[in-house]
Amino acid sequence: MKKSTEVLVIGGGVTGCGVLFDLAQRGFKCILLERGGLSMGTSGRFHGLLHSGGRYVTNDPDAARECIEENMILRKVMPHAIEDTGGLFVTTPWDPPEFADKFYQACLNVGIPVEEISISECLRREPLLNPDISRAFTVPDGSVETWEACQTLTENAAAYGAETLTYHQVVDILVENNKVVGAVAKNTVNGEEVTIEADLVVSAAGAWGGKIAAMAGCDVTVYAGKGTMIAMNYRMVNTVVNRCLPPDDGDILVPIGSVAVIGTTSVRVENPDSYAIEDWEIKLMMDEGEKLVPSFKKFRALRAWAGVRPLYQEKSAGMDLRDVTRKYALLDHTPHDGVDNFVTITGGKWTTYRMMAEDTVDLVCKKLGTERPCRTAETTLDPPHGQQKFFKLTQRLEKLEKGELDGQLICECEIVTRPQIEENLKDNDWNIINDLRRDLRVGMGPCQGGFCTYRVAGIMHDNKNLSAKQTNKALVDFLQERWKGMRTVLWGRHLRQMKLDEGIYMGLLGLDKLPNELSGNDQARIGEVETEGFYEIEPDAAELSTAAK
Amino acid sequence: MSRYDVVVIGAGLAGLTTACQLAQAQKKVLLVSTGGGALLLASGCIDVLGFQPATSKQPVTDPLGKLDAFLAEAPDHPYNIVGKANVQTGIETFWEIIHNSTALEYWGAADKNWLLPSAAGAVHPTCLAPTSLANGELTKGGKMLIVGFRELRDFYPALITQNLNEQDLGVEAASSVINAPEPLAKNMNITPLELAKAFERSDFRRKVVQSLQGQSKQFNRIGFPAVLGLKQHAEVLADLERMLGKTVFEISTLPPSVPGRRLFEGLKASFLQAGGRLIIGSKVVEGLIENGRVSQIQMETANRLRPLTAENYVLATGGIYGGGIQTDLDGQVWEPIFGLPVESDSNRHTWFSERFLSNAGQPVSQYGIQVNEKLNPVDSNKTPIAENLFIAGATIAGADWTRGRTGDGLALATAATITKQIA
Amino acid sequence: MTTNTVTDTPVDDVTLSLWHQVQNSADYCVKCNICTSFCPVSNVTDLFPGPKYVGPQAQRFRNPKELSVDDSLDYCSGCGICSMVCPHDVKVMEMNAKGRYKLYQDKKDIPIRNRMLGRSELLGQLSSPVAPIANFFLNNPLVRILVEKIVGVHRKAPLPGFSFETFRGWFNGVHKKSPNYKPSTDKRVVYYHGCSTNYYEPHVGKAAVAVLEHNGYEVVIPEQVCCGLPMLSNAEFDAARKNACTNVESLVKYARAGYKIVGTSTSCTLSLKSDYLHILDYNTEESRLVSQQTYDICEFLLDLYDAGELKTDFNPVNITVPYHSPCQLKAHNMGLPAIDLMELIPGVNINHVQAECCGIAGTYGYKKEKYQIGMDVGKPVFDQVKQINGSLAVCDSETCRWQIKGATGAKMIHPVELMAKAYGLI
Repeated sequence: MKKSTEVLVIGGGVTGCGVLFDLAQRGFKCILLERGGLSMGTSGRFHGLLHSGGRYVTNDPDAARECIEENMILRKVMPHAIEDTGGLFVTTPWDPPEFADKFYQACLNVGIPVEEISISECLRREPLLNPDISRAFTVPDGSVETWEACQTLTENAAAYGAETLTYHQVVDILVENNKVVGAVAKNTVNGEEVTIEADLVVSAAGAWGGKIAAMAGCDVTVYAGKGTMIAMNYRMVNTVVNRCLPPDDGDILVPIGSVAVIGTTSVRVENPDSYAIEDWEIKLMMDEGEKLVPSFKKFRALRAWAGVRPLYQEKSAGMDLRDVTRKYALLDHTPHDGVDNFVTITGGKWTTYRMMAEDTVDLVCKKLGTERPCRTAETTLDPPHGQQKFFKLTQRLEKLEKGELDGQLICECEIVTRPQIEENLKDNDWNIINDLRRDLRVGMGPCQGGFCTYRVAGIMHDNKNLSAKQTNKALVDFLQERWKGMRTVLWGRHLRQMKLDEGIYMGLLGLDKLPNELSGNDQARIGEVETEGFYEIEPDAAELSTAAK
Repeated sequence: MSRYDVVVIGAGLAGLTTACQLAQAQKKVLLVSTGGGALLLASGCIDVLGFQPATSKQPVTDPLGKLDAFLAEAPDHPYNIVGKANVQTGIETFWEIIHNSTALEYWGAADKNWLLPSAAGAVHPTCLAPTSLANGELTKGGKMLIVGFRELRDFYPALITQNLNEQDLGVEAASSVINAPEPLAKNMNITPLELAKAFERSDFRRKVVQSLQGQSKQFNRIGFPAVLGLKQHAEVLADLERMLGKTVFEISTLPPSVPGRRLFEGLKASFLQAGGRLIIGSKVVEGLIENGRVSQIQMETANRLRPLTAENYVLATGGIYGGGIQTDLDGQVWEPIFGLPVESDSNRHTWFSERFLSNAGQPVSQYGIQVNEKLNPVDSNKTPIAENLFIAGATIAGADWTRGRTGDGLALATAATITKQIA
Repeated sequence: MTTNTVTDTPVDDVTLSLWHQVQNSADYCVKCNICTSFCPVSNVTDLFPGPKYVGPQAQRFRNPKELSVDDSLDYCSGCGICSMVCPHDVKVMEMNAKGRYKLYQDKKDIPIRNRMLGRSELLGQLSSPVAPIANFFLNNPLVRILVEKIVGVHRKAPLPGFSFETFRGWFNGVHKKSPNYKPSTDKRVVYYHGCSTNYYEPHVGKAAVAVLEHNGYEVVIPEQVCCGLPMLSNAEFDAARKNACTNVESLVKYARAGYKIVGTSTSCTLSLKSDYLHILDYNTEESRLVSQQTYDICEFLLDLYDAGELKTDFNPVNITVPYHSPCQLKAHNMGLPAIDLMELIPGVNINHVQAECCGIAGTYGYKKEKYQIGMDVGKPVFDQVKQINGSLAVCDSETCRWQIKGATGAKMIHPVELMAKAYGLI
């Protein structure tokens, strides 16, 4: 199949989606290619923090300034994807006491709204925090729902005519006479190849940016900085809580959706597709959590995951990753590598995606010889569902209680109904329960799909005329996907949950004894699309990590 | 002064059947349990050995006959400790308890497995089954209609029938989803238990049968999710069979399962009838072992710990799921009441296999208490730790039910073994 | 360099930790639904979606800053069976009691009916002196229809009759002034009688005093007010807490001196033992001490028996009686001492009713909109009572006794009344 467009964007993370929307809004014909689902790479594998900039304020004031500016803009343009949790920086007994004043002053210098509050006020707001905290500051941190954001961006882009192709992996960049003229992508669902001709290609492939650039014969060095996070089953805090110290492992606890995420570690890995979550990381996160919230370890850790930050560095050097700038890099490959019509945007943070997109599209305009002003900072996006106001934790429950969510409750933990699932299934060609999870949060609660996976599979089977084998496979694959995230944090009560889930799927349903081997056409529409290495995060593969502590 | 001969800790299948047998043997028995036991979540059938080898997809048809092969394959499974004879005694005793003192009817014998449909359409090989589930025996063949309710989210007849048909089991299955009659009509979040209560009303049953008129003619058997009454289950089943003129069967649903609840209530009633004392909702938090005997245990009440004493104690706390074996982040594994030794690896990476649905069993599930042939806990030198303490069911090392689907058989076999020691 | 100076006040972290223990136990829930399958209310009405749904499940979506609580929570009867059957230590009932408090806080309006039902003590104080007149009116069907229409108390709800003579009046007057009153000098026990004994059923208190004195105890009856449970279950936490404080202040002196505090009302003793701490978050050294020293009277007497100190000079009573174990007693998590105790009496055959709840759940079944739910919940209990012995039944809790009496016509007694009878004391 062949397609042509003006600008081709590679990568369906928040940066790529942001670039796509900005391009489309400025009137470019554009297509986005993503090898998996939207926000499936680094954007979907972070802690969900909308930075106030406080985290970087002492060691990278420029990055901090970008954060606070963008933070304020995003609150206006996509409030529905943001929970206005507010943030706290707290000095625990393990933190350098002198840092607090330095932090406070730096916030004032950069322009981050900061206020010191009394410890009793701090504990009134967040009663589970360590009572031995000695200083507490408020900053405007928040949390963002990345899937909601990326879906919003692509849907708003679509309204301007942009096209988004998920499950399309770029296999080649077409270069003629040192000019990029398009790319070839493989549909990972049905194996079909698509050639897309484009006047210009933007690579927004993040940690995979080096690989994409290499396909065009360009040299881009992006470090993959692995960060491991744990989602805790219970929101023990409702405010983002940061340790008041220079950036370090396990220094932040983010309430997002119905969970609280503790993060992160920072370890350089060679291959962004293959890395391990190591036990020391889990222990470290839990230990650090305990310092913020005494009895933290008694709460259930739901699942752990790791994302790879793209950390761009001009010169390669063996320095601490935390010192590599969190600022982003926009590369025009004409001066950089002598390859025309090719731009790479990488690095940066989720919070600054819009600014990165603006800069990128400004460069695109310049290269294509046109002048079109950016309007993304002033445009409030249409939410795919819901209203243009801040997300609230209580939202789903309220809807349910007011009778606004009718139909059967299928995922009881996360409040997802049968009509929502059926609507979502209608829109998709493939039958991957994991996609439903990203869109609706199915299976993300305490039981990790223990009850709802069977129900979702039953609905899928009935609604989409799947064969029994296909349904069995979708079921097994989703449970296995959940398992990968669960098994690094299985102990205590969560292990008991796992035993219940095992009882349901093996003891009651006998799923392990049902045939699920697919062949031919059956295979095309079902289960996890196994892009090489992408889903494999094996705890046993410890040797893959180069910088183990 | 002690008012009890035996204190049983845990109200799962192992705890309840041990307590029942001992009470029926005129022992003064107290059963204490943190909450409702795992029976409430299970299928209501008694699985003794379903697959041999454990990884096979072919169900075992003769559990007792295949037991030796299973024992050879799984030398660390506690079936090896209790022995084949106790497995058989356990099954027979269970059958007697049920038939002599409850309103339930169970069918089967140790040398034959029922092959029953699961709610996913898999074959569930099981040794003893209540009438309503046994009626679903797949080898009987013929045409079956599996009926679901639009209002019930826990049962998908089309998936079940398609899986059954694709496995060439000799049955021809078809599905139908009907609307639940009043008073449950359009109540989209009903639980199996609510349906079960509704089925106890004759008008409700009549309307269900009416909705099936015209559909049911060509079928030999009609299957429902397991919701056909709770206390009046036998009447409900008989009445439906009479009205439909067909054999009616049930398929167990997601927890909490109605057949599991029937069994729980049946065993509970027969225990109380035999003079047993039951406390559900209290946790035994500590046990004291002195001079090779348990001297006392402490039970948590609303405001204080209450000591309990007895001649003998049975620990039937349900392994990892039941809380009988505890684990933590640092890789520690322990038995929380008596602090009995548990052999384990503190490296959590070794606890799990790569697959969630692992037929070989997750390594962590094998952790438990080492016991001797009397089922007393033993230390690493095989010396008994407390001669008046007996371990039943899933808390024993190696008692992982996923291996060959052996959990209920082990619960009954250990109950039989312990009863012999104490009664 | 700026250094902010911030003034500080201490936070009672013990109180906080208990409050959070209850809320945070939602974290333990594995979604097994056992609580819902045992809930007597959700089993008879779809107005209540079940304890898991409104409890641990909803809890994940509640932000303390803007707690969202479903109206359906009002249909929870507070019987506590959910907490009892939960295999994973989730404090379902306690969580829902707090949710109900929040519900009424949001509405800023507790119906007058609920306020009235929450104040059985005040009603007793007002009505006892005019008991015959009050009872006449309360037994009048026309008056009851009016009461239902105006106040919302169901016309058929089993209201107890007021007693002309209060228990305290009897104890401090007739009893103590009796020439036979010779209290023990070495063993003392505190009796917490509660409102029902004082104003409605002094005979229960008299039986308790008789049994305790027969076993060589001097019965001490300190100043006390209503335990607060009726207010608590009608979401008046502040009023309940006030009563809790008054009681603890009065009782702690005795607790400190090592006295045990016994009660004949299972719900009063449960309040002292547990609800003050876990639901009202009244958690101080004093309240903990009172909790530690509190006993249900049968629990206390059975402990005496186990220690070989209970008199067993019972006259045979040849009778088969149904015994209903109240939810509020089961929530003591100590078993059912009344059965073992009554079975010490020769000839007594206790037939334990095998049904969960009688449906009254304190004041729940009185309410116009919940009366029928209560009756539906209690039906299995009523049926069994009628089947075993429709003329006499035993139960430890006053409101359950009134409910069962109202539904079956059986004479209802407290276990200590049976004991007092067997001892030949009444």
